[in-house]
This record gives sequence, C-alpha cells and structure tokens, in this order.
Amino acid sequence: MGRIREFFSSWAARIGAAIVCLIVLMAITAPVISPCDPLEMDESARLVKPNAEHIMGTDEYGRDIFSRIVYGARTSIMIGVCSVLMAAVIGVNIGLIAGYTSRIFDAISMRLMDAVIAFPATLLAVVIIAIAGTGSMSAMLAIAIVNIPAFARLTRSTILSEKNKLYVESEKAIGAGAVRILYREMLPNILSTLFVQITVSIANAILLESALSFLGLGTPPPAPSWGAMLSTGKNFILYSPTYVVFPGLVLTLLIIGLYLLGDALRDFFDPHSKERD
Amino acid sequence: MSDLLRVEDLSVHFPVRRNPFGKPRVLKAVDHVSFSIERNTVFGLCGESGSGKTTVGKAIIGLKRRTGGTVFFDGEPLPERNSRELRKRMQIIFQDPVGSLNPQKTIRELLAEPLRIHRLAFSRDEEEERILSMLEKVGLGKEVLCRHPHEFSGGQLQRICICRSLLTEPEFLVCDESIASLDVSIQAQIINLLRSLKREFNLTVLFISHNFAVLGYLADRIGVMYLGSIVEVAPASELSSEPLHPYSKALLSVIPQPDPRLERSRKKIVLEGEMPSPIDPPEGCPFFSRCPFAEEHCRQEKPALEEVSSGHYAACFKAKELIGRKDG
Repeated sequence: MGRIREFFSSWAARIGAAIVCLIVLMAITAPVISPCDPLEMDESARLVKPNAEHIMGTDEYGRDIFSRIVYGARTSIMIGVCSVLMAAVIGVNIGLIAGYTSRIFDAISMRLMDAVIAFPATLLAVVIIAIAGTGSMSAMLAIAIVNIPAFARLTRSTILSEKNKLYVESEKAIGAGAVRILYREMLPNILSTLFVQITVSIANAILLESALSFLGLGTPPPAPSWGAMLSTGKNFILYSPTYVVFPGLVLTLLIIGLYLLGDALRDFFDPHSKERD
Repeated sequence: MSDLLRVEDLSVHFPVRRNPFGKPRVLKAVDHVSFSIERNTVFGLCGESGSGKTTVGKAIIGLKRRTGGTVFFDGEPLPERNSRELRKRMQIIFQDPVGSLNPQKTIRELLAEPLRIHRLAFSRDEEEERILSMLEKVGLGKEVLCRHPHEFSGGQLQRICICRSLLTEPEFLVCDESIASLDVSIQAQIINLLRSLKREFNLTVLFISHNFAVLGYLADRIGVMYLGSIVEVAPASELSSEPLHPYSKALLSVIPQPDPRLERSRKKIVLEGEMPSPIDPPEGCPFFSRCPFAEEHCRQEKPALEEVSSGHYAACFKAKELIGRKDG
C-alpha cells in the first residue's frame, strides 16, 4: 500500500489518473449517463446550439453530441486498448526471442521492425486498411501492427542489458531452460518498463484511431466515433463551432491524461529519477 | 581413489575485435589447463584477478563455452552443452549473493525453483519439507521464506545461495570466490559451513579464490593459475611450505603472518610490472616477463606442467633447481 501512496504523491499521477478514470468510467456507464440514444435522429433539431436538453448541442442529423461522445469513448478505448495489447503480446515475444536467443533471428526481426518504423504510422495504417478493408477490426489490426516495433525494440534492449545480470547466470546454473529464464525470471523484471510503454502506446493508438476515422477508414458510420465527428464537424465549424470543439476537447483531455500517467509511471519505476531509500 | 572430475587441455578463448575493420584477435582466458579432482576432496584454484580461474569454473559448469579440451565428469566426457541431469549433479556458488538472486522473488520461490526444475519433490508438502531441512543445515529458519532478497545481509544471502545449490543434491560444487564479497567475520562462518556441508553431503569441491590463506585451510590440493595457465599443482600443505614455481613463491611470500616475530623476518617478493594482457599472450612461459629467474630459453618455449616430486607439479624449467631455495 505504501508503494501506491508513493505513486500518487506526484501531481502528474493524480491528474492523469483522474482524467483517465473519469473517461473510462464514462465509457463503462455510457447507457446510464447518456441522455439520448446516440443513433437516434431528430429532423426538427439539427445542429442546435448547446441547451438544457442537448448540453453539447446536436449534429447535422439532430443526434445528441454528448451521447455520441460518451459512446464514442467506448469505441476509442476499446480499439486503443485491444490493439495495444495485441501489439504488446506480439512485440514483447519478438523482443524476448531476439534479445536472448539467436543472433540470426535478432538480425532478421529487427530489420523487419526497422522497415515498419520507416513508414509514417498513419500512412502504414492506411495501407494496411487498404489491404484488409475498412472496419473496426482492420483498424485495430492496423494500429496493432504499427505499434509492434516499439514493443519489440524496447523489450529487446532491456533484455540485452538484463541477460548479463548474475541472476540469469545462476538460473542457468541450477538448470533452468531458456523458456523459464525468459518468461518466469526476466519478463517480470522488465514489466515496469513495459507498463510505461503500454500507457503511452494506448494514447497514440487512440489518436491514430481518431485520425483513421477522420479519414473515413476507422469506425464505420453511423457508429459514434470521435475522429469521424471531428471530420464532419469541421464542415459546420462556422455555423456550429461547438460540434467540433467538444469531441476534440475530450480526445485531447484523454491523451493528456494518458501521457501524464505514463510520465508518472516512468518516474516512479526509474530509480534514477528521484532519491529513494 | 578415483577422480570425479578430470580436466584435460581445457581452453576458453574469446574472439575480440576492437574495430570492425581490424583483424580479429583472440583473448585466451584459459589456455590448455589440465587437472583432476579426486572424489570427496577440495581442489583450490588460486591466482590474481584476470588469471582465468573463474572462467575455468564456469567452463566446467557449462556457463562458458569450452573452445578446446575435454572435461571428464565421473568418467564420462561432458557434452558441449550440459544436460539438465548434469546441471543437477554440478552446482556453482557465485561471488556476489546479492546479484545472483532474482530481486523480485521471495526466498520460498527461489528455493523451490531447483526442486521444480529437476522435479525433485512430488507434492507441496514434500517441497516445503526439503526446503526447510536444507535451510536448517545452512543455519537459517522458516521465517526467511516469505521475505525478499533485499531484506537480508550478504552473509545470510550467501547461506541462501548455498542452500539453493545443495537442494539438487549435487556431487560436485564450484565455489567461485564465494566468500570474497563478505565481511571477514562472516567469511569464517561461511568457510566453516562449507566445510561441514562438504563432509555431510560427500561433496567434491572446486574452490576458486585469490585468498591463499583460505585455500590452505580448506583445500586438499591447490592449483595456482597465471595468465590462463596452471603453473603449479600440489597438495595444500606442500604448496604452502615449499612452493616451486617462482610465481607461487611470490604469491605465498606476501601472505601476512599472525606471529609478529615471523612477520618481521618474512621476506616479501614483490613482483615487478603487471600481468601481460591475455589478448595475444606471449609465446613462451606466461610468467617470463616478471620472473626473477627467467632465461632466454623461457621466452621461446612454454614449459609443460611436470611432476617435480610425488604429486607436486610445476610448469617451470627451473623448478628442480629451485627446490629448497627460500629467497626470491
């Protein structure tokens, strides 16, 4: 418990955690807190300004923007978390094997990762979606693939420094095999580094998902999505600026929250960043 | 008496390349080392840092790849990679007990591991029982099990490491500078613990240390290493009373005597210069550059380890002449 209190002693951790918790809570309780059905159109109330009935106004089909933001949080968080977890599982395994076992696998897999990194993330995601077809699943897949190299390289470099530690040698000496050493001994020791990367990657994945939806390659309409709302909202920016402001605000807030959390986690796990007993 | 371990012509070489375009060079950490260890005896290996004694230990255990020679264990030559069965029969205790235990795990997890890897316990109860009885033998109690390594002192951790190594009931144990990182008062405890455990479990031990006094107390036979080669092997008592190789003489002459009168009359042989680099070592006798008796002959040819008197081997052309000479 002392460790948890220590973590929350920093302001970045408190604010980051508060923002992320708030938005996650919003996503979970979406059916309860949203005043309207996010898909229900109302011809008589198109592009209305924020008022008591629609606190963030309505869009061009008369759908309640607040409800759409609340439900959009579900999509964003779902795709963000799932794609990053997928990327983490694949990337970490590549990194573990590349860092610990054969040099040939190391060379091949790392050059492959370099190739993936060489493309701008959005462009690569667009190409993957062009191949796999549009839809939430292929967006998720594209975002996952874009995120794999970060995990693979991070894991590999951590393992490279970790594998020269004495405890690894002593594990070998008592007869532990490579699988046991990698997954039972070394992986738990590098989890803290991975946590930081996961937090930051989720932020990037949510941004990328919004970008894809903005381009019309992410969540297909009429399902609510922040990126798609930004995209259509920009057409009405002069007539109804609140349409585009609110989704953008929530998106920015969530990204800031995740980054703050990631920063706080990194400071917390890094023994050099502050003095500890 | 039979030998449990026989090392024949063991070499461990590492390729080193300072810059990518330079020609690759070879670091000869261990070069043509031969010795054997009788069952239930302690063989001490001593030498200054960089002499390759640790590499010998790790090469036998299989933590370093052997580039030449053969190690016979219980009459059988060791395969290139030691099998799990062999790892169970041979164990090692490292110099640094703090670093050799995974900091994230509890002592219980750390101690259960060897039993699980080698499937030595068939139930949780049996596992617990074996761990507790071994803990008792190294002088620790049940209360240590739920704690993490950082909560212990170096001496306690070394006891835990010893316990962990002995849980697989090995026949052969390598102690790699196992007491060097401890307090002097704790060193004595650990040495005595190792001695009594050796007797109890009929262990054969390779004890690696730079501390000649410790080896004189623990070991039955001692080998002296210099620059990757063994320069002298003799029974412990004989080596301390009458070293033959000039390097051993120098090494022994600097051990302080507890008796102040003896200490005052003690003649120290202080060697000049440094040990040459093991990268591209000199052709002839490795000790040539620092030997007070060196002749032209020694520069050209490397002396072989030869039996000078019964059971006493030295790798020096002048060993026979040096018998009985106390000066340096």
